[in-house]
Amino acid sequence: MDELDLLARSLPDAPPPSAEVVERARSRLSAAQLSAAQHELTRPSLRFRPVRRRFRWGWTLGTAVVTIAVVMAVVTLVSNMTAVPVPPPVLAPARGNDALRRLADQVAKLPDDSGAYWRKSLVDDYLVRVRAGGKTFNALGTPRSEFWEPHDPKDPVQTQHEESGLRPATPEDERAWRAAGSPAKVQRVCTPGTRAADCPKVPMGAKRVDCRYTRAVEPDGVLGDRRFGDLTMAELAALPTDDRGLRDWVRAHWDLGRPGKQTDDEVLPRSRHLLEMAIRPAARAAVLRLLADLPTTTVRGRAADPLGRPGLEVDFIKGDPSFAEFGKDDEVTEHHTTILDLRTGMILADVTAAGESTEGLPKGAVMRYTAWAPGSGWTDDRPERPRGCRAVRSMP
Amino acid sequence: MAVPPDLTVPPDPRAGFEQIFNAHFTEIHRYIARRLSDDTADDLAAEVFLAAYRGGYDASRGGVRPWLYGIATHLVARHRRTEIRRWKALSRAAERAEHDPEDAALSRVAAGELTGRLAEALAGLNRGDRDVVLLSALGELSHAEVAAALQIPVGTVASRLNRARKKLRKALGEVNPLKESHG
Repeated sequence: MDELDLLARSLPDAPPPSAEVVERARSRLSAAQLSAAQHELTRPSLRFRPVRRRFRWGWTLGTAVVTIAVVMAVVTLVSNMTAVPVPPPVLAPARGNDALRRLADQVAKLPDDSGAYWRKSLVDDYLVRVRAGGKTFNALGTPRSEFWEPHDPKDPVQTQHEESGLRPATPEDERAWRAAGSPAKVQRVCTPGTRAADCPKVPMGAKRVDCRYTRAVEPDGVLGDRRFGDLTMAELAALPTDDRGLRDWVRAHWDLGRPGKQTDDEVLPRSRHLLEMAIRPAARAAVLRLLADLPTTTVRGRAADPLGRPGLEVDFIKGDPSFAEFGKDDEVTEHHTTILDLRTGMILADVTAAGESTEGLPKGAVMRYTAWAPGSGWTDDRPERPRGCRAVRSMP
Repeated sequence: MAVPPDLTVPPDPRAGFEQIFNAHFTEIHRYIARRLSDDTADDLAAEVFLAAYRGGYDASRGGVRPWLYGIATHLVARHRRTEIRRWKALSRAAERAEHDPEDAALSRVAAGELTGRLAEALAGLNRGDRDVVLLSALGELSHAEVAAALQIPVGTVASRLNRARKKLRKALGEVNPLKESHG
């Protein structure tokens, strides 16, 4: 007996399906056959053509027509989400990360900037699979967040988070939603086994459904982003700008409060998070150079971000796979890239795309993104208490 | 359970599909149930046959069984986390049963020490290797049939199986499967 026989005999067996299950499956199949037959009556030339059938063999999970429609829908989605067409990726030169080093050289020449507040205004769009009136389609969630961190610790820190209803992701999805009667709520499609309470109906429409904010003085001036420990604006301003110093700083600060000693391979790629923080151009340049030298970094080339702004697309976590649920699929592989501003090296957007196809989501389609909206960065503007938002002590 | 005869003759897309369903629904359901759960298999097995019917059969790609197992494996892949949770849970159950032999319910699920070790090893395999192993072990497909099912070269099947076997053997550790008595 070899390992495979052993496996077959050791793993728990399953009882045969009940007669009810078999009949239910047979009924679904019969319904599909009936539907195909009716379709054939009206468009006989579209089915059972040998060439087409050969093409359809494989992992098509619906008719070829449906598959093509889905692909087109998401292609439309991508272009819809990006506002302007993304140019084809430019092949990186032999030393691909040189583009990042050149950007770093340019950033290093920028003058220091400052203001009363460091403002992050984030657009967080994400795709979700929903169902209504027998139609399954994609919708977009469009939460917005604002972070105001003061230069002077005596000024208040303000954060704000706002949620609206979902909207159909593409014109095709909009047609599906309308065909379902334009319901005010749609059912999220969840993975099998998800408790009903965890898979609620969600509202559609542009109306704001939630808005909350926090506003308080942080007497010690500790910043809200604690991924590198408790930092102040002054400490960020003093970030080393030489490679060795920066590496040591990242090692020392990333390990804080984390169990076990991490290797450079694990720690140094985390320096990308510094690009989200209020660091001086010289330090940003050093971070870009550090990242350019890591094997986990790959420059993809020039690309537009989801808001249509030109930038440099970089994969900072090559070889570090991640997964997410989408619709009934409990594990879709994801690819993450970051689009950097071509002048300042600041982040324009973090983009997550599907690394494989699943129902309603072809490989390469944007699943979600976080874009830094215009107005982000240092400003002398000051945050006003948002209208119609409820004040809370902390964000969940 | 007897494996239904393979249907190597290209079926009529419509009239033959009832025959395909009758011949293979139970084994496809069983394959999915053993990888995921009975409940999931109830729904997913039906989806396999819907996808098969809609996709159409191309005899040049191999027999009917590899075709159906390939679609089933593709659908199972959408539930990787569920599957890995299942293998890990089985491993833990086997461990508990080992230490508490009076727990009859667990003992039924975890037939022995080997089950837990193998389940743990399965959870640790990458998806491609796991698919090849389980198509071979549970579906009883040959190398060529696995290749047809997954649309990969036969050589790739062999190398994945080889790699997976080593991991399974390592997981078995001191236990010699050739001497182990089952059933």
